[in-house]
Amino acid sequence: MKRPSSRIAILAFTVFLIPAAGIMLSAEVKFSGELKPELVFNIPGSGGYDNTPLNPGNWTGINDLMFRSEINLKLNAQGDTSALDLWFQVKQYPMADLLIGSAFIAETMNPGGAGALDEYSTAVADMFYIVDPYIFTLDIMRASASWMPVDSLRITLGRQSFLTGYGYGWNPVDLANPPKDPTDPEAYLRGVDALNIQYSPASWINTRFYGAVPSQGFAWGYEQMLAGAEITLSVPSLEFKLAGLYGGQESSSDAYDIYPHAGAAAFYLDILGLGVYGEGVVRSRSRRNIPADDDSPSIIKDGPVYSALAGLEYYFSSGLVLAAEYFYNGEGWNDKERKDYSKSLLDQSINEEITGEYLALYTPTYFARHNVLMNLMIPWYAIESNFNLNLIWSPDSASIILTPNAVFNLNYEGTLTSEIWYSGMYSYDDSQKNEAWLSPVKQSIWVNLRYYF
Amino acid sequence: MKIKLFLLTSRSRLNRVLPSSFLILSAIIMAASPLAAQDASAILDKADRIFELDRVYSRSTLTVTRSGREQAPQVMEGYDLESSTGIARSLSVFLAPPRVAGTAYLMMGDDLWVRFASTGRVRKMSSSAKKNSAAGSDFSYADMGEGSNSFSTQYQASYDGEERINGTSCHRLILTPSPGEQHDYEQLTVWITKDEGHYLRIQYSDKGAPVKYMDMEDYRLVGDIEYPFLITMHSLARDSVSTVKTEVMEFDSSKVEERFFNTAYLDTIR
Repeated sequence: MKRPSSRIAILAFTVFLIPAAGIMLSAEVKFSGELKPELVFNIPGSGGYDNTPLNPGNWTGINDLMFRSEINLKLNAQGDTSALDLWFQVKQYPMADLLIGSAFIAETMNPGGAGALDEYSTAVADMFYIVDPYIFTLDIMRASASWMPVDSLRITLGRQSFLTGYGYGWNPVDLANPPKDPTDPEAYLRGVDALNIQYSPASWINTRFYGAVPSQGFAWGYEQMLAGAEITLSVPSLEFKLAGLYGGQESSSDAYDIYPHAGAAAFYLDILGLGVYGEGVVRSRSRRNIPADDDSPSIIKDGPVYSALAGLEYYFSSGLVLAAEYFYNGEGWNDKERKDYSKSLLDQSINEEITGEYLALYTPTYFARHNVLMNLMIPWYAIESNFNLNLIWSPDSASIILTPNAVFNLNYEGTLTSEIWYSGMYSYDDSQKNEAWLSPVKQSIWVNLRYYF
Repeated sequence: MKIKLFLLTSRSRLNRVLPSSFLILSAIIMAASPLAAQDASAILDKADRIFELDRVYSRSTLTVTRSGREQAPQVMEGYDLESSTGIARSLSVFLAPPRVAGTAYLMMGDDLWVRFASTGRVRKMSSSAKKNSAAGSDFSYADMGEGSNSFSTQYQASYDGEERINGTSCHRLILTPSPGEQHDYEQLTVWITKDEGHYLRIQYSDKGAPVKYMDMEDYRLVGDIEYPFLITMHSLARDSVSTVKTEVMEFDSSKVEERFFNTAYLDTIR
């Protein structure tokens, strides 16, 4: 029986508010946040911004200069046996962003949502409002209350972080969150709605058991519930993780499912200062559909699929940090599927109408199967800055994504920083079926200010 | 007796090239070495009393001055507690400025975990990260987190003479890593005041050259041990000075709890 979502929302909010109020009365309360206005300077290619079947006629309204802004408000209360965590994020960004960086998030939220951009956009936030060409969104990033009846046990209810793993670019062992963007790991940090029981009887073992619900909406059927567990074991120089997720909609083989059953493992080994790490996951089926070779809907890809990551990192005494990762993305497409995707988009773009599901299937850095990431970080202490160079190379789809950036501290109080960021996507063959060729914006420069309070 | 034997066996080879007076001098030095080593150990042991503090809570401010320009003061809380098996454990939590508030470092022996304030993620790091600058300062993570390990347990000391530092008469000792110990520096030179037996200066050398030195001042009584409330690290590689000024220090503190030394606790820091 399906209940009205508004009633459920009020009930959930009340259930959350009662313990929250109690915690706030008896705990130390911290309020913090940040404001981030940002300018994006796009560099048009030879054919402008519509020289790709993803953006025929520049229907998403990409322009040379785009403005974004983001406000994060965080409130935390910690008592001896209880805690409260609240984090709201308000954003204003151009709708064109859906093609520039956020599409991979939307895919996991509303993969089957075909149709107009308005429908598609509901997938990206808790609340949204569109005033063309901008989207205004409000996200509840965290809203959880915790109870610690004894030191080794923590029970948390509400929206909370489940970030886990060792990879900088990708985290196959992270089963509860949507895939992260390797070019901007801070881009999407919204928590997961769950009841989470963490038990840590000794410093060498941590366990968590959780029941969660899909990331969008207020009401779900029981069949949509998710159950997961993660165990972390530590001995000197070695850490090991095992994780599992029992997804909800497995029985319905024709329904798209972003949480299939999954088992994962990860390790981190310190060999004389060299960090060696790996992650692997096996899912009962792919979370990503494959494209049809015409303008038909995409096709569910059934059958087990695995992904794995291997990485190395080293911190040099000069401050230089070097990390290298190889990611095998079992949910990525093979050569034919990428070709079909381009063809299908071309078929759709003849009518200048790309379906939402095909738009959402455009996922740079998860597009093909083989991916290599190189990351260099160099601090420049004299000017309180650091420089970061990220290179993601996909050898099978013949693309390179290059994202160097620099962060500068601007004031004595340490409350204001500025970040300058270049994002370049390059295709080094003319097969016209990789993420770089499909991207309507291949090069951009981003400049932002961040005020922390 | 062993020294005498050494001299007898060595003479036949050495007296071809060295005058006999040099051999006599060498014999005196060699004979005196065990005494000096014993003295060096005793001096080091006395200065190492500051490491006897356990279950330490501190609140301090780290200020970095580069090229004469002072940077934003960073306020942090530190928790130190040795494990039941003798492993040094420390947790450092940054409280200010806002952009780093919520960053935390947990060290247990050689293992390091970081809680990143920007994402809230907790991640194990390679031990090579401990050599890196902590929060952009001239202190490394190891300098800050290994405070509960005494030098005498990690290094072998040899006496290197006397010297006045800032008008105070000091013993100068050379410390080299004990066999089997791995350290980020190949040698330390320490100056210990003759009167109080306090560390006054520690110079860190790597690859044959000094890289930085640390001055310790403003000793105050914490329990029955005198501890430096002002520690300044001077870089010799760049124009940079970092100062840690301790505002609060408690030992056997009830603020330090066993549960802090667990990666699960890092998840709860905000």
